[in-house]
Amino acid sequence: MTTSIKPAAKPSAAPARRGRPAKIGGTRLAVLLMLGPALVAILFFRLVPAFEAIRTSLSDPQGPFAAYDRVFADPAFQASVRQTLLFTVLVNPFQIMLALALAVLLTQRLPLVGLWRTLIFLPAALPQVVSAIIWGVLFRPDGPLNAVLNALGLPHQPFLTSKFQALPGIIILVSWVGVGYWMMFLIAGLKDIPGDTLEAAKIDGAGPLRTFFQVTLPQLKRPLLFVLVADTIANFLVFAPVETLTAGGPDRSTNLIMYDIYERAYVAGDLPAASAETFILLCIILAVVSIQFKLLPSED
Amino acid sequence: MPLLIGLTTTACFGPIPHGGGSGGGVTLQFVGAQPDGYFDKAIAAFEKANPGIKVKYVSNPASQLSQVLQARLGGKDSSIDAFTADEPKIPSMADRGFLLPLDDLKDEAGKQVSAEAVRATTFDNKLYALPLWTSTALLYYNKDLLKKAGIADPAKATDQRLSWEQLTADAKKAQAGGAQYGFAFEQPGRYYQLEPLIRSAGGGTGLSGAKNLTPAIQDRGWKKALTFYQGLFKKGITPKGIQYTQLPSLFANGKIAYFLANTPSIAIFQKNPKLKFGVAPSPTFAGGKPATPTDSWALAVSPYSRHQAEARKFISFLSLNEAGAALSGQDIARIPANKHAYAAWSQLIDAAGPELAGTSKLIADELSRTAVKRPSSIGYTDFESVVNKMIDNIGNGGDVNGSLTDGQSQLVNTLGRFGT
Amino acid sequence: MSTGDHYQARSGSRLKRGILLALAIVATLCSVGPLWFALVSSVRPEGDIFRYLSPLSIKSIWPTTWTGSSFRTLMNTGFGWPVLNSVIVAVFTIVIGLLLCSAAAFALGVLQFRGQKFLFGVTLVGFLMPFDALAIPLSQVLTGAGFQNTFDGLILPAVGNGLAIFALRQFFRNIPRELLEAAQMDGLGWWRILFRIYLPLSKPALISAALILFVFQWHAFLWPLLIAPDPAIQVAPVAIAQFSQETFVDFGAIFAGTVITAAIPLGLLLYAQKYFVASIARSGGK
Repeated sequence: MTTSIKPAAKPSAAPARRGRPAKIGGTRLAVLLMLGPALVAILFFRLVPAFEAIRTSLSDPQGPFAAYDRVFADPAFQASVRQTLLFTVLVNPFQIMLALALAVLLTQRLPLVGLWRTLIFLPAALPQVVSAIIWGVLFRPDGPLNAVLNALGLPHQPFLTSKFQALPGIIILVSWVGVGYWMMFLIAGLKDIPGDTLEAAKIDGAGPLRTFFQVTLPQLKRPLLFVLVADTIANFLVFAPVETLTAGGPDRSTNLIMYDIYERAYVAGDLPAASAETFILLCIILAVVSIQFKLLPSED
Repeated sequence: MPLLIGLTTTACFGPIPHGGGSGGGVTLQFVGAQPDGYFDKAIAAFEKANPGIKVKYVSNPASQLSQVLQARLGGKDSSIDAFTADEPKIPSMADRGFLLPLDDLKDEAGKQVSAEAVRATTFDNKLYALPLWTSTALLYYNKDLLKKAGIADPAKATDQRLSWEQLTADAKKAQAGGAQYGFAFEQPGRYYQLEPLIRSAGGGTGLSGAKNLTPAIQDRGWKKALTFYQGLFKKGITPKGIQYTQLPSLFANGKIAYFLANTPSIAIFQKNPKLKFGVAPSPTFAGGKPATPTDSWALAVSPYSRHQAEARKFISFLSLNEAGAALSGQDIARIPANKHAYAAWSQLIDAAGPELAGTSKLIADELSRTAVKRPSSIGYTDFESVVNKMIDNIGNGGDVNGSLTDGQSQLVNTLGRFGT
Repeated sequence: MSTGDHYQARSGSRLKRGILLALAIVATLCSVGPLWFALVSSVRPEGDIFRYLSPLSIKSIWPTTWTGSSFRTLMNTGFGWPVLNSVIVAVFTIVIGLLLCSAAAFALGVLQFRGQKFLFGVTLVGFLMPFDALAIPLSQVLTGAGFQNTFDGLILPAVGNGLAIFALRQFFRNIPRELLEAAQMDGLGWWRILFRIYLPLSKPALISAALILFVFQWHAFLWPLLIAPDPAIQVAPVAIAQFSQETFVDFGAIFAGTVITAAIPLGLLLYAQKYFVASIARSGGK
């Protein structure tokens, strides 16, 4: 799964659909009608703009690869690659473990479990700007979080004004938003586990922990992989909190790639470089997702 | 579903700000950063004087306006006719082809608006926009907090302005006397707010060369101003990490003794009847030449508009026509660039409150003598973006020299795409 | 054949259940806390919003003075319309999106044809593209095609959602092949199989997909800002952002808008929760 797919997609999609013998009468037609709209949507709403973007990235007045040179030489970009990778490595395991823990917790027979699930999911439904504003207030040096710390006798924290705490702060923010969302999928996955398997484990005398690791977790592989991939991709696209709260700082510590692209495109108006960086981001995402697929064996 | 419909029907079907149908006439789309309804009076007056032309105002959140303009004008969207343009960004927008040149309006502009304002909208000798407003910074102070600390009110006369050194000492005294914070900038981490300090410390604008595309941010003035800036945070005089939009309320709530801000904040201060504030000139570095920030919004026409003639009429009305200019300001927040409107506005602000008497003279002095403009450059947007982040970093405690060196190299890289 | 609710704590000892409940409550409080702050701020006067942040006191989390002025501001600026727009966009996105995504998922997961894996890869890659980064070229393309300020412009780019297709496909593939083969032997065509057999069994996946589509739209800000800036067709997040002006930010109004835009999904979810649980118990398919 690399860039060669994109240019190949358009021409070969057609022959692949039409050129094969029908297994059942009407399969070809069914595939066309069922898959067609989605493919048209991808073509028109994703691939065409993507091609546009690639074309733009190669059309810098200073030469076809000038935009790429500029991007790679830019200290801000270099920082954004570092910080984004760091962010990815930290936020994804954190969110997924938390989501899994919550999913396990909330599939126990507890009173009002539907209410807890809904309330934990709710932050995901807020507009991004709003979550950012709310947390911006919470993280204020004279704000409620520090007030809580003070009440517990802990020292005052700089949070978003410190280049060491800013990225963790963003991680907490996006996790607050996202964990409930991913938890829902894991809950669905947990509920799909057949009761008999668990009963069998119980009969074998397995305690809850062993059951979890040896029975439950393997059954959760597919939903977990799904959540991992989707969450990873979503986290590569984080930028609203950065734009609202930190502008990539302090000291570029929160200069995530998506934000860097956004600035390049919309503030500097440097479209060739922004498009180049988009393409680079896409390659990074594909690479990471491919690695995830390889490391976590699952069908397809 | 029925719940939803119920919810929405009971919720607030207020007026839809619909621009009415055009019927045979022309409807202009006017995009700006001011709130919905801000230009209603001016638009109504214009429509009355120009039957056949209607104007629909579309508001965009201020932080998003340049992005939206970039996307739509960059895409040659013909649906925007007129829009508000941030003056320092005019050269960059002209370079990207977003502004229709208005040279035939130059003479009229020269007559109706102040010379400084015309300079702010001129680039490469062409007039690219018509000025709406200008700005300046004033030092507001909390009378009660100063009294508690035994500090005398600063004088209003510009020749008796405080030095930054004196202000720092006074701010600390105010804190000792009970103020939570001694001093704050309205726009920390912004070049707009820091440029006057840099200039009065003897520094340059940060851009040099014939086209102002060569970065030069490591001179002594920059170092002095930014070290001083950082010191305010380090000493706890100035609050760290508060989003700038939340700062005026902090002053209004009596938590800050001295506040360097523009005129729109006055509206926020006046919302708290318990606040007794006074107005004084911006401080300067001892031995330096006093400097204040300036410039604000202007009106431009899109070169992709299909109604350029009407759009030009509209912006001329708001900027150059006396009645129109008076209506497009409406309140004491915005300092009109139009000479007549300015005269009326001066009276308005002097009468707006006991603490504001004589403010118009102060502002007039600053505008004519100490205002420093941001550098005119097609790379200004990139410059400002990098410099703002650097200033923010320094405010948060980053090493001054290191940050300046880093910023310089970043600027060299970023501005490199303009050639030189 | 198993039903839902089978993954549970065995013999809940009172203490154990109590601890788990406490944990659930703590987690919920963490989630809801910031929202509570928004709720409280939406009914207090502007000046109070930031006055009681610190030190912590009861005043931080409970208004001292109550005022409806923020909600009144919303009413005066006609906030009901953007909310309605958001709802319309969300509903249509979900309906059209579910149709399109389940059909695509079915084709990519159940039907068999050469190139299926490849096309699945293409679909995924296609929807992996960072949407916000493509917003400029996309908005240019769509504006040129006349989609500016239309509901279509808001809905269509969102109906094909790779995540939703992925989720539905995984679910479809878990449905036992015997059902499919039985239906084929009964002579049912593909569409009937999809609608009569697969979809009814897929309620949880459909709900997941609906959630994905809903959140995508309810959340969206940059795209609606670019393609539908006109006040008549604005969606709620864009309208909320209007209160953040250059010189004055009306936090009360922003928080009031937050409360409303959070209340709607809250209501929907509480309603859907029961359905979610009940449908799994009834679905019986694994």
